Amino acid sequence: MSEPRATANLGAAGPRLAEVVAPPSPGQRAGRTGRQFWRSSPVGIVSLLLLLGAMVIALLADRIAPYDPLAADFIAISQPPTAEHLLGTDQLGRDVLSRIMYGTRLTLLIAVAAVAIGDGIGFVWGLVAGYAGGKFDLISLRLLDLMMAFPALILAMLLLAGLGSGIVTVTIAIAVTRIPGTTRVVRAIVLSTKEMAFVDAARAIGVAPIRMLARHIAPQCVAPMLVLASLNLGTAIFAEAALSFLGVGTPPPAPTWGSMLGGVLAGAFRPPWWLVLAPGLAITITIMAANLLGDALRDFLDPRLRSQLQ
Amino acid sequence: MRVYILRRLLLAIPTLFGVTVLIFLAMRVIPGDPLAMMEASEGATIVLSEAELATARASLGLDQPYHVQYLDWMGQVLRGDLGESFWRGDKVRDLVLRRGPITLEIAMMTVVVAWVIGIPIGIVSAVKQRSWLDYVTRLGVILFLAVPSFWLGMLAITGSVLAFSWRPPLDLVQINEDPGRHLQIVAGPILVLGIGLAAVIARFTRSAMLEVLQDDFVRTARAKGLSASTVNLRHALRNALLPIITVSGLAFGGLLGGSVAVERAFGVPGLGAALVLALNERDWMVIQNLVLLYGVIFVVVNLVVDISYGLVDPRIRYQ
Amino acid sequence: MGGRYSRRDVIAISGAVVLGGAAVTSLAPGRTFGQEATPTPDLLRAPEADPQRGGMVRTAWGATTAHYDLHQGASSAVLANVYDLLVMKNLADGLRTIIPGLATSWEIADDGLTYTFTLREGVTFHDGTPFSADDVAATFNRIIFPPEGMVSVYRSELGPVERVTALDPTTVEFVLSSPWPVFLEVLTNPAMVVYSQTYLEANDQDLRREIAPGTGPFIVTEALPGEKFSLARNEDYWNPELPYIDGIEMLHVPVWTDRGTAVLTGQADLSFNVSPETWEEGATRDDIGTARLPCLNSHTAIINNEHEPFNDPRVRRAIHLAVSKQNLIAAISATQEPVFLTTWMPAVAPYAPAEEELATRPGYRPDKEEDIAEAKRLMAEAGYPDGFGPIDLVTASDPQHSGINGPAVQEELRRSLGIESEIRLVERGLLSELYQSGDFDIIVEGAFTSNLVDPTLLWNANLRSGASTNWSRYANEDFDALLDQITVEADETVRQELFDQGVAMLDEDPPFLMIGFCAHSAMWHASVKGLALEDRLFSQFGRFETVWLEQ
Repeated sequence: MSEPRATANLGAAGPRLAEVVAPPSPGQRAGRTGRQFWRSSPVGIVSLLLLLGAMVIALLADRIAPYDPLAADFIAISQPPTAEHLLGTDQLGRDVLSRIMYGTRLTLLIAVAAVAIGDGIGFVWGLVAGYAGGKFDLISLRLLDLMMAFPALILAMLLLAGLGSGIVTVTIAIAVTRIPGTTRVVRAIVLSTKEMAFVDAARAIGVAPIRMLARHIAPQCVAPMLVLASLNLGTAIFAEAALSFLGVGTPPPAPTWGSMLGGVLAGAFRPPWWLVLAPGLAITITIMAANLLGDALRDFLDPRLRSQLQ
Repeated sequence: MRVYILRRLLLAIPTLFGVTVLIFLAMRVIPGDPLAMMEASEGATIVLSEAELATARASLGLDQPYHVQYLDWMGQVLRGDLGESFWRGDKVRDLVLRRGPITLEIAMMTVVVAWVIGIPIGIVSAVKQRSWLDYVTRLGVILFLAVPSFWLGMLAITGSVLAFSWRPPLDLVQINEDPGRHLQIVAGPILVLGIGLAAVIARFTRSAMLEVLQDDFVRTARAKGLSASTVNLRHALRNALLPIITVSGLAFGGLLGGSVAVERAFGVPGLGAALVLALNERDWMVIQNLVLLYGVIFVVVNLVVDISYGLVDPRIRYQ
Repeated sequence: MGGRYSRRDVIAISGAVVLGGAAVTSLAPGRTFGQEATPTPDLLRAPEADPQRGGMVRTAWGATTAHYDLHQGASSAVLANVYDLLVMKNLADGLRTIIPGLATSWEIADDGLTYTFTLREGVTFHDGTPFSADDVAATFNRIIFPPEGMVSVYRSELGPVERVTALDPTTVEFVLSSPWPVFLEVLTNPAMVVYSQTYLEANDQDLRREIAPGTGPFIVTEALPGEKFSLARNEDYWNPELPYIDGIEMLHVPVWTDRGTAVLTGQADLSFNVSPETWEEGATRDDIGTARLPCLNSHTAIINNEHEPFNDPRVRRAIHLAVSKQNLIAAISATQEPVFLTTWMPAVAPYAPAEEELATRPGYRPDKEEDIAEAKRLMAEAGYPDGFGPIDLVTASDPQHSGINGPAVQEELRRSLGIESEIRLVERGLLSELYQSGDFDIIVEGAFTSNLVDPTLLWNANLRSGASTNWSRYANEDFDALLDQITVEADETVRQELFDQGVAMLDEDPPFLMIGFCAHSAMWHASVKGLALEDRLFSQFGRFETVWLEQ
């Protein structure tokens, strides 16, 4: 069985990895230009720009934020938006806009790092398992089953209890739950690539295994990996919010969107709308952008869909 | 077929063995044992001396070497005994039998709701690809993917309290005791989780349908002059079902163990809530057995999913 | 034998309100109950004139327990209803006076060293075993001399009790090694229940696994920890008037918003602690009753006195002066239980100063200018004119502590004194290990709490040098000497003076940062009567025998 399996997710976001695994398209390379991409999917470009914008905010947070995100003002606790505080103040009188800006930094850092680590490990593991086959593959499959059979939330809570709370722990907890899905996806692609004519040809002329992996097989997986990573980015942001809601997220006082939202929602009945809306919209827009970009990439990189266009 | 199932079950043994070892060690490695948590449970008045702690641990069998504790546990499990809570005499089996059904029901109904909503949307979106309908549904789908379900749950509760002065009951009423009251408890989580999963299902349906609609046999069917709806439903959807089943199976497993946030948002006393409470109390036996149970469910769901492939697509053979 | 008793000390015969001599009874500031209280009937009954019978009461709060042995730390919030106490706080007058329970009267010797209780006759346990003095002796001897493997939680509260003896089936004698004026008060703790000797022996002195039979007003019919407990009325309760209702269903509802919405929508009749937003919603409605019940829990920032530079009293005093209690109280009260400006004891303690007077003292007054100047001078004197850090600031990992209380303290320390800190989140349950190991600089939580309105035990357990729960590792010889006096002093006027001195000492050489004692937000359906909820002196979960429902 080589069906891709995603990890059991936190909450209802659900697995959505298998979707990406359209069979790899032979010969597709990263040769497409940006202009072609723009023509094929303006939505994708807009999403990309939104994500880039978020990264710019993250990088420049200390320059553009109007206030210190940690400076409490006990006289102005939970004030609705005003000209002074465009997005209002939070439960310690801190400026919400500034916290969203600084939160962008930490949120993206965690999400990107978690995706890089999780998908990175999964990528290499999947390549090797798929290509090497045999015992290594067999053991890998059992290990992946094991990782998936373990409830993701319990895994995260155990990690946090064991390693102590911290940005690194949260990142690891999210990354670990990404590994099995990615590994399976990549392994599946490698398995089908191995059967292709050009690989056979390469093998026939005696290309060494390492070189074969690096030069002929890995490139086949790059496109699906990009799509997968863009989708996982959204999942990671989401997972961070869910962990914060359950009280095992990033430690204060540095803000993340997830902790801003989760902290307000946990045990709330009618929380101040601006405290929910600001981080909620930031999360929703970013996840939507990541998903739309993933979709656009998939449509763009899938030649069969492209052929339909032409 | 029987050989296939048997082989799969044998392959599950190392997986489950790994799960038990992992959770067993995890409970002992992470800080805090049942005694430490009990000291904390009633405020700061309970402080034990080292000697008291030692005797208390011994009385619970916690002073035994790990392998002895582990083998004891496995022996119990193999005898069909899921053990008991650390101090209280209550059986883990009773806990599972009482709370399992409601969590199971929510998970199953969530998948049903997700199929009922998600598959038609996905089909329409695929058949009318690049129409405004496609764009609108895709946008809606992606929006729902990006809204945390625990937030939806909270909004639903606050809304119903303020508007109708009503909220779902907080106790656990089984369906045979009082169906109406039972429905009030499960409806909210099912809808919220179902809508979230429907978005996932719709995405999968759409992409699987697009994939299949390009295939030769669909073209052949069209060429034979079969009506569009027959082609779409009889031929295309049938083949597109494979990934949908895969995802649903996975989501089902995730829902059994991972819907804690939504259970908490609605105040449903399900198995997820029990697991979190056990984790807070460091009630090792409860945690270990529940995690093992989740592992078993994962294996079974996977098997069922794989077998159902054969039912959907007769070309798949099991060796 | 009779010569050992003075007239003054022979009190409370057959159920009158007890107050006097050594019996310390808490009075709310400005209230007088006690000697001149309204006539009390022989047996406890609801405060209303004509309580109705029948019906089920459904409650919602965090009602679960790790096990069932109250004397080993099980939660009394559920189990208190199954058992009886020797003496108890009066549910009908808002828990202000001590009234008879299983003991109908008691005598205290002149020297305060012998307490003789006369017990109620004709009482039986739920399993049919008759109740006698042997049960009392077995129960309290188990607490004082715990068998091996037993975690005796209340041994220190019974401090100087040396011996408990059944003199005859209806008389039991407690002999103390030194006077213990809070003794009767300690016995009113809802967890100080009397177990059956037969049952204790049959279960090898360990009651954690099963719910032991009691003599109390209710019987547990269904125990589903982490979900709910169902209780039915005890038809053979020794007080024929009680209970009025047929049973109680106690739901375990861990999230306090759910408790609030449950009461608002009629899914539950009563909760002792709901979220502030739902409480405020309830306060606007006619069919819902609400009250803020002062509780005996506090918000504190426990400072490890052994860690530099907190070993310097000037640094701790500077923190006490400079940190704005008003700011912290505002931040906490906005999202959690309301917190009050208090000294080192609950606001409802009989020796606590009035809030208005307190708000004029240094460190407590809202105007910080002078206090901060003085604090900065102290910091400079101690060698830290520009502050120090970063220190290790621990908070519980729940959203309130980690998101609000911890950062609020962090910000106040940074802003007022330049003390920088890094926040470390620790699971609530693991904090007690940290307190014991001392592996922290500051823990923001609430580890300064007690079961009693009287602060004697609170101070002895938390502030005496070397005490087992002295988490701040506070060591002040003068204060210890004062505690020795307080512990044995029975005269109320002298006690008031001693406590005033103690507060002054603690203000001068503070063990940690006191933020304030809090209140629970209780909310109930208007049909719930009989518990004097609007008028409770302090918040106590548990006993429900006088509750009734208006149909």
